[in-house]
Amino acid sequence: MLKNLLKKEHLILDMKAKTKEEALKELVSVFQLPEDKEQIILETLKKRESIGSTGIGKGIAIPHARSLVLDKVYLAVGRSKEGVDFDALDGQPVHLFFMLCAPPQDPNTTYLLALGKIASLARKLAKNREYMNIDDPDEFINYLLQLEGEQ
Amino acid sequence: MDPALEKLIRLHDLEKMEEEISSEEYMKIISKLRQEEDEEELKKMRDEALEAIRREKEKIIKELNKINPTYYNRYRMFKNAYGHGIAQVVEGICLNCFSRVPTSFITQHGKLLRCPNCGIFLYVPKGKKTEGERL
Ligand SMILES: [Zn+2]
Repeated sequence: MLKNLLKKEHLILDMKAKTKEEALKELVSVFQLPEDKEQIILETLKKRESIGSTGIGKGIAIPHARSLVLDKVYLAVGRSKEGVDFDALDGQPVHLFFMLCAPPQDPNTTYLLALGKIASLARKLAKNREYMNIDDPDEFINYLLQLEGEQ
Repeated sequence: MDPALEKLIRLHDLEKMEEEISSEEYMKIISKLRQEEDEEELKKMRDEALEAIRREKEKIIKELNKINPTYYNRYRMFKNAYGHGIAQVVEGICLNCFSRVPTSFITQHGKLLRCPNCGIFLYVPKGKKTEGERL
């Protein structure tokens, strides 16, 4: 299911961000939304983080939100070799981000299904840090899809 | 962007978040993400999140009422009637009632507009010029 959402142009393998705010901004920027939409979605994502960090620990964060200004589901994946201080639950820096943004109406429940899939994937990814060593975008996406397929 | 429009969108997004956090399905995913299975702990986390959203909403409503006290009442009325107080226009269609809005709305993006058919507040994204506008 993540196959339809994982796009090479929405993947950043060398994130520059050092802070939570910079990370959210850098990830949203790959969607290339008009400025007004980008501002609103960023604001909503920041609000979501302020009520409870999506940095779930073990170096992974899954910022997510729904916003009126979107009309489809977007997924961005980012990797930071240095790590980002994201107020994660375990206090550790975050190296891998899955950012999921969706419109308010979601008739096929793509958003919740995707969030569930990412949750399972994150658990597998946390077991070994293989994702830190893949520098080819196609290979990176294939690695994620392969892990997603494994039960 | 019109400040009232911006606040209505923020309020909408917060209410979506509130709905989401209140749903069992979402909390199951959060429990999986956090590897937290303690029901009490999850309930506490959810209550705290809902309380934070409630405070944030109050702030926005106060700001909105300063601009025009009828906006929030209308928003609430639409929300009760349709399930949401503001709708997006996509490809010239109001996503609440699915009727076409006037093409002139596209050039007025960023303003606080209402659907001529169902009355709901509209968010009209900045769009490409339509055939109608060029004529
Ligand atoms: Zn309408």
